[in-house]
Amino acid sequence: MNRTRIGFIGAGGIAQRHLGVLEQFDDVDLVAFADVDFDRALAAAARFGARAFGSHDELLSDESLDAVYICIPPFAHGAAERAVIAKGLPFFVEKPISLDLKFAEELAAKIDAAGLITGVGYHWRYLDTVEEARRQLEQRPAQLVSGYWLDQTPPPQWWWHQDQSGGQMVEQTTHIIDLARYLVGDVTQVFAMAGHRDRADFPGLDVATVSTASLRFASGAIGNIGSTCLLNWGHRVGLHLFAEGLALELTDHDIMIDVGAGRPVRHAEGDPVWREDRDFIDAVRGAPSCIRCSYAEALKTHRIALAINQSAQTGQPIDLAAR
Amino acid sequence: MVLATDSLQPSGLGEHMLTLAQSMSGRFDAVIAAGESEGGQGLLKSAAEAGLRVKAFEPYALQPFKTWLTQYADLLHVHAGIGWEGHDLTRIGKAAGLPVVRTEHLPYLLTSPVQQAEYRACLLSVDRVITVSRAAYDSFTSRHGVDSFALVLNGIEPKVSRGKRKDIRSSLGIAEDAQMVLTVARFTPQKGYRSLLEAVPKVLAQVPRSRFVWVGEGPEFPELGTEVREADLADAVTLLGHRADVPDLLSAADLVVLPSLFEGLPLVLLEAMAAGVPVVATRIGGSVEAVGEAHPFLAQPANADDLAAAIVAALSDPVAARIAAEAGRQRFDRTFKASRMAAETADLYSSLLPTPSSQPQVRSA
Repeated sequence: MNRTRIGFIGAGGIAQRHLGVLEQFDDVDLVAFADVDFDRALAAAARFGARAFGSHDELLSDESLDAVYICIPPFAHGAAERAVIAKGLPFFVEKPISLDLKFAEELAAKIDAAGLITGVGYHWRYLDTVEEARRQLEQRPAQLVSGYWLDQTPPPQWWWHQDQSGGQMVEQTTHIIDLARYLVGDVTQVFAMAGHRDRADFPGLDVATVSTASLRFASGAIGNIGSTCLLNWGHRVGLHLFAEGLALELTDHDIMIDVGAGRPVRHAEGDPVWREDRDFIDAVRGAPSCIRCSYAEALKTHRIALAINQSAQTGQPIDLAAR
Repeated sequence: MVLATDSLQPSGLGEHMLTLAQSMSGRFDAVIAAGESEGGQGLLKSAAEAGLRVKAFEPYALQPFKTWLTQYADLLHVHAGIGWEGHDLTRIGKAAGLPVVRTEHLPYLLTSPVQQAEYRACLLSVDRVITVSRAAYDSFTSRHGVDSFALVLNGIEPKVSRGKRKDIRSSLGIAEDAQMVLTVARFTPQKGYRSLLEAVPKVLAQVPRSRFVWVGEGPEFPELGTEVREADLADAVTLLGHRADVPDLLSAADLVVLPSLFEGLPLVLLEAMAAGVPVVATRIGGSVEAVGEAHPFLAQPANADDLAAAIVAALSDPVAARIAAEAGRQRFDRTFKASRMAAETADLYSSLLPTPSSQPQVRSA
């Protein structure tokens, strides 16, 4: 069988998530890993009989690939994507796509010009519960949106710093923003506030520890999304939607649909990352694309996340429709 | 092609695997596979740094490796440091439906009846055994017949020294007018360091400016270090431990000594020959094959007097040493290049693989 040859740029935690899926596909060959930490690239390579590189440049010049997974921290985006696009290779990239909007827009234009297949790791779109929510909302579109990312502070130190992670709205809550866009439509206006408390266990942490954003959607719906990293456990990540005679609560593992006949909860089935990776690989292999979040689509979500940061900083509402 | 070893300390053997994989890269895409021991990990790192594909396996739970072989490999080539290594690997290779090649890096040395029986059983899962020297070939075929065995002499890709001789010697604390006698070998009884230690004072008595530099790791290392100090030889003998800059050390050396008791076909002698450094070796199968029967500086193994005499002879007759070194360099070029070893090995692989017409889609790993 002709296997699709995949290279990884970045072999850290989120790469492992995709590797656990891709290794189940018998039409995929994981052939090369690049990481600034060579030993990490080596460990991944040694799992799969692949080659290891200390930089993406070596990986791209020395290995013949069909597609690339880019799994690097928010601050590291840039050179890797440019090099992959210059090679004309399809790629899957993890969110957030960049901290620099201009750069992401430049890339989106290049991807469009080259007609490249891309996928971005907004895997909530692949939850079967989200599909069910979409069906419900077709009949009764959401009018009020209430989103949450109420969680602990992640351990990697880069996450604690605004200039490296972009903060919680950009790094984590972006999943909820994307889900709101996917289920409710485009956002036209945001107004955000943010607050900060030092955390003794996280020296140097400078990101907002609480933030809230009000949103207006093109459909007329309105909503709010709140984030905090002040907890020492995961409390709630999810999106609540309200429509005529419908209350719907989504988390990353279940859905509750209340139409006035009790509050039945159903667990999500299957692995959304499996479906996400499968769609990407199928598209790379020439099947009609079923990818649910391309780079261009992710850029629309990312604009909102960055606008929320900007609004919190300036104290002014940001009109996205005018952009 | 998967080149695999379960050897715990694949030093020379590991080097050989890397050389083979790199030299065959035009014909076959090779993966270096090693067990999850410290030595195995080191080999995988060196392989990855050399741009080769790598695969780790758990030596005592080989099922996942077998599954991987079934999916990705066309042929398994097991490298055994000694006759009792690699049996489980050959078995899973055969069970995975692959042609299995096994390289013996040493002559036949098994003495325990149990190990000998295991070896006979292991041959059932091997399509071809490669021996790396004529002496090793004879030691196996005299017991098991010639059918399964092939002779592919060891070969190396000589690495070029990047440093300046003067700088390297000064970094080792070796004076310009000293005679540097280098030994690169693991610190195991096989390598014969003990007879060398005994020979050192005898050499110093006749060539007082000789300085011995010993490179390698191994179980005898701490003990020999102590013995060097107790014999008051610390000024004359330097133990360096593992070094990645052997080509530099060779370029700084006046003589290479390998006092081994037995060998397959020792890479360090080939490296010294390629670098044009005179060598003293012991009169044992693999070493004599490397330097040639006519080599003037050969000593009986485990004989300190004879070893000292050979070292003194080489150090005190620079003209003879230079002639021997030049002959060694020419002999290396004729016989021991990696390209020749790789071509012969690749031909052997091809003879075991299905022909393209009977299997149109040969997998790439």
